[in-house]
Amino acid sequence: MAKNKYSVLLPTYNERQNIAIVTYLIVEAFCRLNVDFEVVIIDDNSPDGTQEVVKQLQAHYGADKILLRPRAGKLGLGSAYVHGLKHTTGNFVFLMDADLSHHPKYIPDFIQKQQETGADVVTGTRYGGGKGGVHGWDLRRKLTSRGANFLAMTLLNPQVSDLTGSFRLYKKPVLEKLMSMVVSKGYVFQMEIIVRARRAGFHIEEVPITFVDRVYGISKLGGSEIAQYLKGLLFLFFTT
Amino acid sequence: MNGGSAGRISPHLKQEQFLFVPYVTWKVLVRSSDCTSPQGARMRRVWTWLGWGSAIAALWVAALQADLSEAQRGVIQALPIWALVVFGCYSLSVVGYEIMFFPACPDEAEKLQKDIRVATAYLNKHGISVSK
Repeated sequence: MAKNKYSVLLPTYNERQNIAIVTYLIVEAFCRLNVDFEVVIIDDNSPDGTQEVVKQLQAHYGADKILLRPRAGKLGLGSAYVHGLKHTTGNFVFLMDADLSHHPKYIPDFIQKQQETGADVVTGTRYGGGKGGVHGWDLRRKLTSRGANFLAMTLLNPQVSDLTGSFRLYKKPVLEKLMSMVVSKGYVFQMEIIVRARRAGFHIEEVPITFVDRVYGISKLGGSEIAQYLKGLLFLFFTT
Repeated sequence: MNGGSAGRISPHLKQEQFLFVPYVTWKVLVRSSDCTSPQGARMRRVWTWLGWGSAIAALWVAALQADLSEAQRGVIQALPIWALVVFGCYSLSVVGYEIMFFPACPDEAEKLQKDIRVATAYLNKHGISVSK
C-alpha cells in the first residue's frame, strides 16, 4: 500500500510573529503521528520579513519539509492555493490559517477521521460536535456569524455545520478539481468550495475544532463585507 | 350552473386553470431533475425551488377554487402571509438559541498561550527569530 504524504498549504502575508510558532506546532503534530509531511508556505512578498524567518525554519527542519514558494505581491487566497498546489508532492492537502487561530494540534483528528471514513474532504467545524468552539467573539460578532450561517444553510443546504470554516483536509485530486470550479473570494470562497463539493458528490466529514480569534480587532466586519457576503450567497444560490 | 357569490369566477375559466398550473409545475419539476446540460446543472437549485414553489402555489390556487365558506376562504387567502411570519419567527428563534448557547472554549486561549511559550522557548534555543 502506498504511503500517505500530507502537505500543509500556508498562505502568509505579514506573519513574521506567528509563522515560526505555527510551523513548530505543525511539525510537532505530524512527528507525533510519524507520517510523511511537508509545509508549503506561499508568501505574498511580505514587507515585515516573513520570508527571512521561513528561511531560518528551512535551515533547521530541512528544505524538503519546509517549502517556500513566494509570489510577487498580494494576489488573493484562491490563487495562493492554486500556486501552492502546483508545488505539493503529497496526496493529501491541509488548508489552514497561519495566524494561530487554527491550532495544528487538531491535525491528527483530521487524519484519523479521513482514514476511518475514507472521506474526500474533512472540514473543521467550530459549531458542531460538542468539542468545537470559538473564543474571542463579542455578541455582535456572534450575531453576524450565526445569522449569516442560518441564511447560508437555508439557501444552500450544504449539510455541514460550519460553512465558512477554513481549516480543512482534502485529497489532492479533489482539491485540484474544486479549485478549477471555484471563482469567489473571501468568506464566499470557503462556502463555494464546500457547496461545490456537495454538488459534485464528494464524501464530506466534519471534526470539531476550536478557533481563537486573533485578528478580529484589526479586521472589523463592515457594511461592505456584509454586502459582499450577500452577493456571494446569491451567486451561489443561482449557480449551484 | 350555480349562482355563485361575488368572488367566484366562471366555471369555464376554472376548468382551464385547474389544468394549466399543475402542468406548468410538472414541467418545471421535470426540468429541474433533468439538468444534464452544464447550464442546466448550474441552475439546478433555482429550478428545484421554482418547482416546489409552483407546486405549492398550484395547491393554494386550487384550494381557493373549491367550494368554501367565507371563513375558510379567508384562512386560505391568509396562508402565504402566515407562512412567512412563521418562517420569520422560526428563524429568529433558531438564531437566538444558537447565540445564547454559542459554543465557547474559554480555556483554549490559555492553552494556546502555553503552547506559544513552549514553541518560543524551543525556537529561541535553535536560533529562529520569534519577534514581538
